[in-house]
Amino acid sequence: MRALFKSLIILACGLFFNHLSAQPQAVKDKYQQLLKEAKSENERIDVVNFMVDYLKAINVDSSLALALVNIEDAKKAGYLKGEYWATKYASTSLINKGAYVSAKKYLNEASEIANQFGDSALISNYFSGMGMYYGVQSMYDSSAVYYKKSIAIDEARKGDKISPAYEMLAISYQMQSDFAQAIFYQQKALNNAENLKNDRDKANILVNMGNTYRNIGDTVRSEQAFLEAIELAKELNEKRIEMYGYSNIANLYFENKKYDKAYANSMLAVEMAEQAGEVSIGAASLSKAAQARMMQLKYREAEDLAILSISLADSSHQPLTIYQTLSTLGNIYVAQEKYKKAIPILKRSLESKKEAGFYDTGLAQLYKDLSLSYEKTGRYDEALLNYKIGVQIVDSVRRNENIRKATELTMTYDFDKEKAANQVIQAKKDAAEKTRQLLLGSGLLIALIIATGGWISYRNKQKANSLLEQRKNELESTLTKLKKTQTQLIQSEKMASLGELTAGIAHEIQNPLNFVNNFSELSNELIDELEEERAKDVKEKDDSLISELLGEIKQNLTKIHHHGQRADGIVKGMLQHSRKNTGEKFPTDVNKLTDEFLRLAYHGFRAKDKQFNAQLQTDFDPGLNILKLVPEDIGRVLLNLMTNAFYAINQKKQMNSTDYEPTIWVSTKLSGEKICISVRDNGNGISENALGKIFQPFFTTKPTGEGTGLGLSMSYDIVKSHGGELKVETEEGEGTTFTIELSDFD
Amino acid sequence: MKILVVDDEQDVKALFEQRFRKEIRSGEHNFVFAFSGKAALETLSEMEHEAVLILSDINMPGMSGLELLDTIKKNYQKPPPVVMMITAYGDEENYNTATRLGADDFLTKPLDFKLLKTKLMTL
Repeated sequence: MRALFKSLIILACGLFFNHLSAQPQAVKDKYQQLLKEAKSENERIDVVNFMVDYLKAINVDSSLALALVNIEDAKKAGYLKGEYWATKYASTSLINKGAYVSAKKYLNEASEIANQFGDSALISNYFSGMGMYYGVQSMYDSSAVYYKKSIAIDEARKGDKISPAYEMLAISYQMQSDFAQAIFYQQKALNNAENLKNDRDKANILVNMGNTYRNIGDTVRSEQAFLEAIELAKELNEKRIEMYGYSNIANLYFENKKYDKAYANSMLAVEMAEQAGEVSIGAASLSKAAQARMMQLKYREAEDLAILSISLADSSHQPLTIYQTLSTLGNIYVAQEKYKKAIPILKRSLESKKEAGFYDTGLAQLYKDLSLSYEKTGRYDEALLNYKIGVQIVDSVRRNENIRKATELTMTYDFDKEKAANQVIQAKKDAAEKTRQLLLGSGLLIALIIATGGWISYRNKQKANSLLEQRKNELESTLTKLKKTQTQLIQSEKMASLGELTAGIAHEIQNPLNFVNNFSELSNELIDELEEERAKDVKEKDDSLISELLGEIKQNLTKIHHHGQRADGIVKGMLQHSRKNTGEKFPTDVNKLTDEFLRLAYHGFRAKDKQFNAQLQTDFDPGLNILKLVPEDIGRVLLNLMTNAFYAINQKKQMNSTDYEPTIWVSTKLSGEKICISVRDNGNGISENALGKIFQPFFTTKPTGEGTGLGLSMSYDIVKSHGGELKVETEEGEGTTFTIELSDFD
Repeated sequence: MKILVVDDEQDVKALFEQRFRKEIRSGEHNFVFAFSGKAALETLSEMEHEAVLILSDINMPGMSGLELLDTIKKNYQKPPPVVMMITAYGDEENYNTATRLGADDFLTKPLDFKLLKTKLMTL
């Protein structure tokens, strides 16, 4: 499936289809128009052949049927060239269907026509067709022989100006997995476009080249080509080319398991597709985005994307696209073991795939997925039946796939050889040019030789020095790296507590924000409707509707204001103290600060573990004075101590779930000249062994990856820098109390 | 179709009524609102024989969305109402619990009304 789908995308990118536009309806319309405009029977046959070629990648059966009719018409008209192409396309479709005996028959006929016509271009094309024919059937030696014959003819023809657009040829080679030839002609096309300063063609060709490189596994060049194409398309404001750039680079990233990038680029392609009205590519890209999310195990997002892609694909009426989107959703369901839901989707997918006329490993995989889903839902007969069909298809297709790959490899090799040969020629040219320049400046050369002698001895001393220098640099860079790592570790602890803060705030703020977004969007729609009504003439104007709309808009604005205020209150209340992390001390209400951070810590912890539940007991001393401190720093200490406490009681809860009530007590107290903030839990306590180390940096009892081991050490430093003390009391099995003691003076 | 929306945020009512203006006007959908799990159960018992789709938030004070889902799936077996739960992305725990309790589908916050409409159409 993938190979064929690839070629569909590649095909759709081709210049030919930019003339016609890639949308099926648009293609059909243009086709009808071209048919009408055809001045002779021969021209009409050419147009039909273009359609046959186009359909080949979309619906094999329609392409084949149309080709067969066209062969007869061309015979009647005595139009050999037209007969050749129709025959050749018929053979390609038959190869795609796996009907090799018939395919060979048509290839033989194509050979006869080509020889009768005596056109080397056709003969070359016939040879490459034979190469493909043998290639897909594991007959690798024969395949290579024919490919080489084809290449040899084209090489010889180079002097002539026979070729239709190079890129057309490249596309056809690419369709036949002849990537060396594809690149060869694409490179020529690119040079051509550059010479003519035709940036639009250049962008198109770059997309195609990106695909060719992707097919031969040259990821770096492929990415480069796509990125360049996208840049160019952006400059030219060519939405469609930009879209192809995104959708193809997304495929590249996907194959290389860079799923975030694959997702992002697919979504960009969706956006462009929407603007360009490319329903089918839009649906395919949404589906690709869903696949990327699936690979990242983000099933729910994947599911939503896949559902949207199906409704889009349905409106495109292209069985191949519909199949692709359905099979994606099917896969997502299977991956989540939702087999019951998967079955109807997979069945519909199968229908679409058959409608498109493809017979490949993708089809086999569908049968296997279906079989698995039946098996898991206890429908064993159907499971077995589908499994058998799947295996049959795989057996007949697998041989072909293997050998196609082998063929590609040789082609790559041939291509490299050719490139090397070109480089040698270029190097010779460069050398000749250099010699010429040297001769011109021979006087200068003598002076240079004298200077070189002195320079060599100086150079030897330099070498010894540079070796020492190198060692020194190595050591210095190791030291820098260590320092950097240390900073990074401290930063990562800060980020960890930031994550807890964010989760808490996000929880509180999400609802009002959603309302603000929704009601403002809706108000916009209402205003559009209002303007529509207002534009009507007096008789039709509905005044009551106008005042109703105005009333709703006003109501929405009130709601936006209300929820905006609500969000504002949350932010102000929770982060009043953190303005900027200036490290400056502010007069702070310690009770309020403690209470706010308790809520933040609780929501933050619950955001990570939904099952978590705890009793929160607070006891704040109302007689506390306002204290000058760095609120965000003390806040971080509180967050740390509280999160640790939650962690401790959660651990204990998981061990004895019945009669244990996980609780934390947070209190503030004025005792003499000191303010004490304590955080007590009834968790498992700290072992004597660990107690001595808890304030050491990097000490943690949490499993690897869960804690940085910097939380308490940083907290200790922060409290110290406030001139205070951080104390701990613990009893194993009973719980722990941490107390921050701050002095009341400043 | 009759749709019962359960959320503790009162403004959800105004939001749905505006988002589904056309569908409500044409009679395609009929919305009923309940602002707590308890109120939802009361509403449900009053309209026992109608086919209903229930759309419920999870985080609500008092009876949570999960408890509501559990009660509905246990008590209303014939005809079983379709229940869609609204959760936050990344909230795998609630998602799994709701799946276990028999939730038929999920929506994520913030609500994507386009997706919701597509889902309602394909029901």
